[in-house]
Amino acid sequence: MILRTERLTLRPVAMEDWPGFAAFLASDRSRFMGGPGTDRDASWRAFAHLAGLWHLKGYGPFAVRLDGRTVGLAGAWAPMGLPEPEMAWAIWDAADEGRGLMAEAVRACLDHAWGPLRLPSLVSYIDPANLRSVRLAERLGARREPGAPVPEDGVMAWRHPDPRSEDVAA
Amino acid sequence: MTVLTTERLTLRPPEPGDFEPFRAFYASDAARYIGGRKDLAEAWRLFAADAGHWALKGFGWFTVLDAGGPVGSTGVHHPPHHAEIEVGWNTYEAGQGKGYATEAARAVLDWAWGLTDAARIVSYIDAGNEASQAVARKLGATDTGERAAHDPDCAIWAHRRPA
Repeated sequence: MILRTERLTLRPVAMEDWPGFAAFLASDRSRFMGGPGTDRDASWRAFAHLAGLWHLKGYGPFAVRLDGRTVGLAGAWAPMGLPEPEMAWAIWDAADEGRGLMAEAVRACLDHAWGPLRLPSLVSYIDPANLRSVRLAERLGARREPGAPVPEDGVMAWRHPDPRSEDVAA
Repeated sequence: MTVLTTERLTLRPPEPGDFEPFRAFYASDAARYIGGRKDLAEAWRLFAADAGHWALKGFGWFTVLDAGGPVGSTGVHHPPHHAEIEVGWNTYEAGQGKGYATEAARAVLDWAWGLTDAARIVSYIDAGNEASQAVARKLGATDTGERAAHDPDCAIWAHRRPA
């Protein structure tokens, strides 16, 4: 499964993404995702688990590729423990921020999730202190839903509008 | 999809329906020598990681089934922080005492020599795990006396490539 946008290629995670993923998990940038962590067993398990979701669920996070390198992950995923499928994203290196790469990637993932995957709903679970992600969610049209169940303390749900049910005349 | 068959067993990559017996095994005391008991979320992550290993590396862990369903998991894996390719086996309660681990691991080893040029495939076995050591001996492996760099509680047992 490959998605293409103007600047990006999105494909399922592959072995060549491992060093970048491990470096991201070991860095402070993973602090909103349960990191940082340097336990190799746990990091490997987290990584291989992303690949396993594709097999077990039929979809999972994409590696976001720019000019032949992976800059982060984006896509719908539904690991055990999430109340609803989540549209998730992470950009691994601060140097790749500020160019709208994730907005471009996640828009493609949203189209894919609502279209071919026909997911029933999509939320993003975000720590409100993660301002960059909150801004991106809202730029993509998601709105905070205080009553939605969340998988852990400290995050809130931003719900993505379902284009299949939107009143386009409104 | 790789499927291996033996006289009594079928081995195939993990499917979603295999999770419940996998979870029950890792919630039991049987997990004490393989990283300890795992709660639901940890067990899921490991289960999905086993499935993902196939996509990432082209080989991995199989669910082992007899006529009644899943009885264990057996496979070869090679995470990047492990020095060597490893064959491993777990037998669920429903499969205990029947020689299933040996039968399944023998089939996996026969297949796995084609995956690697290595002179040996190892099994990292906890020094206290006598049941697993017995399986390793039946498979013809020997205790090298070395310890695993990633887990000093584990001895390195070596399976030699057949001539």
